[in-house]
Amino acid sequence: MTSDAARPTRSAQGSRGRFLALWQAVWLIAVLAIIVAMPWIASAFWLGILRSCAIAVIGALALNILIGYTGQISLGHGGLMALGAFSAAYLTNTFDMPFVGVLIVASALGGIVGLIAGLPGVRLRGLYLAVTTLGVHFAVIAGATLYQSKVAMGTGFRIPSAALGPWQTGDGRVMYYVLMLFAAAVTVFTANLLRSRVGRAWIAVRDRDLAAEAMGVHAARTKVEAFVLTSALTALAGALLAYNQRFVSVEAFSFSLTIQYLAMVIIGGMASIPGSILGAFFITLLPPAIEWLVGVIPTPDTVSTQLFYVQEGLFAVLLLVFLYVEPRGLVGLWPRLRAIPSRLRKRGRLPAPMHP
Amino acid sequence: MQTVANVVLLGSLYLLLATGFVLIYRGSRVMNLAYGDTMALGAYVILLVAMASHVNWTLAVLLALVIGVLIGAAMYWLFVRPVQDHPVYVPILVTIALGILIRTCISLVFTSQNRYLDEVLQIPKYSVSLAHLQINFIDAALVGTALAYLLVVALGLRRTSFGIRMEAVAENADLAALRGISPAGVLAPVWGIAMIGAVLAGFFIGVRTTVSPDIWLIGLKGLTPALVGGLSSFRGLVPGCLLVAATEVLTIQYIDPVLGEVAPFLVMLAVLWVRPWGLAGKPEQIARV
Amino acid sequence: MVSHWFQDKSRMPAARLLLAAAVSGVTPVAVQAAAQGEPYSVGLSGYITGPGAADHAPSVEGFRAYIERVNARGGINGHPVKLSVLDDRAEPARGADNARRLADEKHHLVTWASLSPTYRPALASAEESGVPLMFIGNASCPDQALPKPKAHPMVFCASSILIGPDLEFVVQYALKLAPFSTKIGLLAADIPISRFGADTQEKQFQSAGRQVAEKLALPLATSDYGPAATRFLSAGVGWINQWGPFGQVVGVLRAARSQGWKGTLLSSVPFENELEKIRDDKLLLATAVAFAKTVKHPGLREIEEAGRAIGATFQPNQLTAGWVGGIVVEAALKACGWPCTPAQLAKAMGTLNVDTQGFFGGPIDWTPENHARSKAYYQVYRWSSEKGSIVRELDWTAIPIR
Repeated sequence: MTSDAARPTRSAQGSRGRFLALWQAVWLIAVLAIIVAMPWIASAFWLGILRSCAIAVIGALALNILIGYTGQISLGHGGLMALGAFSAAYLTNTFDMPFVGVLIVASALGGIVGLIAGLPGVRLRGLYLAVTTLGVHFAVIAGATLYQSKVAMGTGFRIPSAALGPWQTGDGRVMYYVLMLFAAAVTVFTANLLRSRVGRAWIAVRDRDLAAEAMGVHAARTKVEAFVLTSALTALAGALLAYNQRFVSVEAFSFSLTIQYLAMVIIGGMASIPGSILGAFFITLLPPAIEWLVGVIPTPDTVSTQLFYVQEGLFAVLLLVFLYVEPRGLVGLWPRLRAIPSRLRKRGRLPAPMHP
Repeated sequence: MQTVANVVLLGSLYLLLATGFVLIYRGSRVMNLAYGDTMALGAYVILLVAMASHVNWTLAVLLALVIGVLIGAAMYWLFVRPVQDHPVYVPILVTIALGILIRTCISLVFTSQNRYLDEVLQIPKYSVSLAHLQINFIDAALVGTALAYLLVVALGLRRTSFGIRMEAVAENADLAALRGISPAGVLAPVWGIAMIGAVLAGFFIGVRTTVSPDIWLIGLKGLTPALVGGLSSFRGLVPGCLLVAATEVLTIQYIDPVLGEVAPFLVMLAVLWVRPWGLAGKPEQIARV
Repeated sequence: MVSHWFQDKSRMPAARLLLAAAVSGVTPVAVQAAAQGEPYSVGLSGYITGPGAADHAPSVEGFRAYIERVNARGGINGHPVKLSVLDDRAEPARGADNARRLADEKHHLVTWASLSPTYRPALASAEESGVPLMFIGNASCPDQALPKPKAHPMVFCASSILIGPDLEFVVQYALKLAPFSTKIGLLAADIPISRFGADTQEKQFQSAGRQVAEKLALPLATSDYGPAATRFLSAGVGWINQWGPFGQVVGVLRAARSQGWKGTLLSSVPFENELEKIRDDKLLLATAVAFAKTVKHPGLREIEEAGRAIGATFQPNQLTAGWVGGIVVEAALKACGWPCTPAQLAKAMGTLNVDTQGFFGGPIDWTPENHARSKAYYQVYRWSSEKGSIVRELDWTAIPIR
């Protein structure tokens, strides 16, 4: 996060160093305690939503790797998740493959597709990867539709509950922990990756690809690497989704899903791991929040029966607002809000500029 | 023989959509993913005009075209212009979000009910027999309009001073501005003209099948031929549209209609793999690294 | 009258724009006008929004309109009915969510007005929670409501579509009207229930000695129906039976006609208004729901008023299937009495007999083995250009449920 030097926040300093400040440790323990205790606090309904949040975190972090750190865009996220989910469906229904095996194979498939799709567009700037991934999305979806209609009579595939040692993935609480663990693992993995040589190379390519080349970083190769990793992680998220829903059907993976993940990364804050996590939670919690709001505030009947459109419309407006007003996303919003009192005090002084 | 006609008809529909799309991309380097939604909007605007005023159908279409041009220009001016120098994905996401908004409003106002444009507009039903083929008035109009639109746009860019200005802005906006050409002043009309293709496509789809809020998906399929032909090339449009249309029609007629859905995307991926800048595009987008 | 102005089709979208602008969040969601006391609680999951929702969203409105009117007249046994309406967009994942939520909400009765991909979680939920499940509107009756050999005690069907008898009827009708020399074609959509319909019809035609010259399943978002129409024409098809969403009927018919096709298309979608707009003399619609406007059904005015009360967006004659669902739900709750538990309700519903007031061809007569009806009734309509209106080709014809 190249902004760290410019942002004089304690959290930034905390994530830089190996050791956390005391108050951060307390926060962390409190949050962890809540996360662990959730299955006994929350209702089944909200637990299900939290499970969806965990999957969203994985998907958002995956997309963030690509967009935030290599500056490339993928419009095929939904298709890649479908790939993971349908791989899971195929492997469990045809080969009865165990949980871990399915996840590995699904991720590998995602990586391969990422390689195939990424290679051609890599030498080209800007839109060509976007365009290729859009094609990948539609091709995967169309293929999945074909597969679903020929094999499952169009209804979709059931994913039987898989055994994880003494537990079953079909158990909501078990799955909650599994997903949270995966989300945490991917977070740690991503954070470490970006500190490593590979990650720094990516950031160099994003910011100044000519200079990076001069320093020995092979721009095209790093873009492909990033895209392969993104695709693999996204397919993993898709496979986890399949186990979570216990059902796979192609309508769940429309282009809207791609847009949702793009929104998570943008609204959360690009090139920011906390941003992606925040964005994932925010976007996942938005529809139930709107529904709850509509139930509580008196609204015309049309709003509750046409709730889907209200949710979609608000989502689009929110996306637009963030694109224009706060391109740094929610993580950019927080320091801005915190800076308001001091800005009011020191009139005329502008906040620290953000590295574009 | 009918197969050829089918290819030409579908190709013409794609041509209307792809021309507008390429125009926007060539002019402002923005992939307008709201194009399908603006096509749906065009169809509904025609419907609204016809239902509200009972005018002659040609007048209704013309009125809708004018409104479409204004909407296109407004879309650029209000929404795209502020983010044009932002990273490349920002304008795309803006158009995506706008598309969602348009779709949502259409669904809320008009509901999911199917509407029939030819019934509302009272389109005359002439047809002539020509070499074993029944040629329908509307079908002939589709082919003619698509070609005319392409010609007007492509030639307009080359011959008129406005076209030259647009090319200048497209090539180097800053330099153009230095020479006194306002990028926004050029691009707003460009987006407006591109919208003509969308409205016309919406008209033909509405008349030949139905108008419903889901036709935006068809509009998005117009993206494929544009990509195959070369996103920034007008010359590649006709071959691109014909190739994609032929693949789709032949797959539906001789293999399976469901596979016909996938075929265009597979063609697109194949072309992008081999020639990422499309059949007739210039390899201008190759990064120098 | 202002309300009539809203109902006038040509002004509808503009009027709704104004209405949407004018109404500003003053109406509470659940209106309990005249009825007092603890309510009967009914849940509904329906295909309200999404592509093709036009086939099912009107039923949801019809159902809501009926319940609204019941409440306005004092409720059932003196108690109001509280409706909880959820949208599932015909997606299995949402259907599963809705089934779970409706189970949590602990209703007396759960109704379902959506497509078959959403049924599995609903049926599982009915089994687990012991709350009766009733399919209404234009949903198709699942096998669990039919005597095969015995209906599931918790699953009931008051909807208009019964797959087996429907298919039997259209095949019989085609066999009767299409001369032996005419080649038969089948048109379906690429969704399971539609494909199944086409495959079943093919078998029935074959066992009656008629070959099917072409059978097509088209994707839902087809951009151009020309190639599909060409396939029917090249196969020399003179009669097409269609079983699926209505959009493709218009597309294929238009394309086929412009390619010179003079044959007949028999569709099973009960869309009265569409017939009026398409004006093709050889488009036949088979339906289990009477075309209320054409037969000038006396109950239409009541539906219109009730529809206005809930701000219905569809025409009154489109609400009839859902309206019948309301009639049946009212009869069921009335039979249960008060207090009423789901188990008692299921028991009362096992022997319910409801007059459908001419909207369906016969009564909804449930027995412990058969939770659909004893006989399915059908009519056939078409547009007549000489009369300048829709005519009824065939009056109520019964097919017994085996």
